[in-house]
Amino acid sequence: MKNILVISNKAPFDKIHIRESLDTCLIFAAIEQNISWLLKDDAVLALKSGYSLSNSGLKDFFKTLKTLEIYDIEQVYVCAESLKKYALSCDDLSIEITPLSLEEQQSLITKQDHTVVLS
Amino acid sequence: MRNFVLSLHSGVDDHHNVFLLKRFVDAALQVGHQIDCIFLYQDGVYHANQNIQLASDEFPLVETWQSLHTLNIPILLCVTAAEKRGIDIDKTGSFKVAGLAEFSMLAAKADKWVQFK
Repeated sequence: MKNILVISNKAPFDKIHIRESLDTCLIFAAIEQNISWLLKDDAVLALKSGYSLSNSGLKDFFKTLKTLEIYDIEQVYVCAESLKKYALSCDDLSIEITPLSLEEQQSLITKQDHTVVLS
Repeated sequence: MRNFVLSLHSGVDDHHNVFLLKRFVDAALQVGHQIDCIFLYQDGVYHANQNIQLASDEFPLVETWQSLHTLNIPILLCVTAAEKRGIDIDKTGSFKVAGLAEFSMLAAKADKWVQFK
């Protein structure tokens, strides 16, 4: 089993970067790898609760975030500094998530076999 | 000896990235490493388009892919990403239509996954 970290740094409506990151996390979870997902910079906006796409015609991929739990992906992290930049707290987010300091992110990366950025 | 999987994320207009990928493959093989696959993901799937034509003073993109194919490295492309981008998945030449699942199984066995983006 490999430790794999996916890092996302693009905003939720910037092409389909967040969806591709999510797909990658779900696939690796499905083949029983130890997957972690770190959202930082503009990507933290993908976690904000209260998006409503139902009348827009766009695929509501925010709903798919809930499937992380179904696939037992528990290691979802958010950059504490990026949250601060957008004046967000954990209460504003749609899923339960652990904020990490830059030092903690560094240590997370050193534990991985593969670290990839999907942006 | 280590085994690598590589993924390419940029489109056909980014010649420099393919140049770097080829250099990486050559260097890795030269010192005895193994490349288990090259995976075209995101805009990387555009490389499977069989209608790419470049002027003779441009980077030899098509020839570079041909020489990578002759090394017998499986070059896979993500079918979902390709269909979203209008690639004709029945006409991908030597590029093998696969999925993220197939790639992830190779990545799970590799020592290192290196991205070109």
